[in-house]
Amino acid sequence: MGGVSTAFASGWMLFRAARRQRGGGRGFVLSDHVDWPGLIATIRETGASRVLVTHGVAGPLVRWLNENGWQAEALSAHPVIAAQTAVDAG
Amino acid sequence: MRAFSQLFDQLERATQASERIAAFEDYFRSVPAADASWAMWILMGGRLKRLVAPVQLRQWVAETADLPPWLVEECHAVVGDLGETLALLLPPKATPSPPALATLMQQRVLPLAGASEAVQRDWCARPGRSSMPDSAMFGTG
Repeated sequence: MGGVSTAFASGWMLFRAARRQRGGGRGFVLSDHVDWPGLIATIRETGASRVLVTHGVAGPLVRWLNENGWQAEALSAHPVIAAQTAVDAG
Repeated sequence: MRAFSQLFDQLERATQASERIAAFEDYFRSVPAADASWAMWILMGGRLKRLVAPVQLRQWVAETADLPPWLVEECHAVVGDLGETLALLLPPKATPSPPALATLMQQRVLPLAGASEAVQRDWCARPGRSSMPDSAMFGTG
C-alpha cells in the first residue's frame, strides 16, 4: 500500500513520549475527556462539597480537592465502579 | 525559531529515514548558517549547562500556572521531560513572530546565565507556550 500514513487521536498526543510510543506518524490532540481546568471548573459549578472520583488516575485529583476545601476520595476500589471503569477505558 | 520547531515536528512525525532526510534538506537549505549550526548542535544533544536551576524553573512555573509543586511533579512523571512539562503547564499565549533560532539562543537564552532572578523568571515562566522553545532548549533532559 503506497501513499498511506497513520495517525492517532488522543488527549495523550499532547506530549512527546506518548506520540513516540505510537512509533511515529502524526498524533492529533483530540479527546472526549475533560482537561484539568475544565474538570476543576465543573466541580466548582456543581457546588458539591463531597466529590467521589471514579475514573482514570484519581490520586492527584483527590489530593488536590482535599487540599482545596473539598472532601474527596477515590471510588475506584468499589467492584462495580472498577468494572465500569475497565469497560469505559477499553 | 519557527523553522526549527517545524523541523522538530517533521522529524518526530516521520516514520521513514527518507522523510527525515528530506526534512533536514529542506531546513538546511532554507535557514541562515548561524541558525543551522545551532539546530545541528541542539539535535546532536548539545546542552547549555547551568543557565537556570531546574528547581527554580519548577517553582516559577508552578506559581505561574497556579499549581502546587507536587502536581507539577505528577505531570513531570507522566510527561517524562521536564522542559516539555513546564512548557505545557504555562498558560498559552501566541507570540506573533518568535526570533530566529540563533538570535534566540545568543540574545535571549545565553544571557540568562548572568541575569538577575527577576529577569530569568520573567523569561522562563511568563505565559506563552506557543513561543516557548521545546525542551531541547532548556536542556533539562
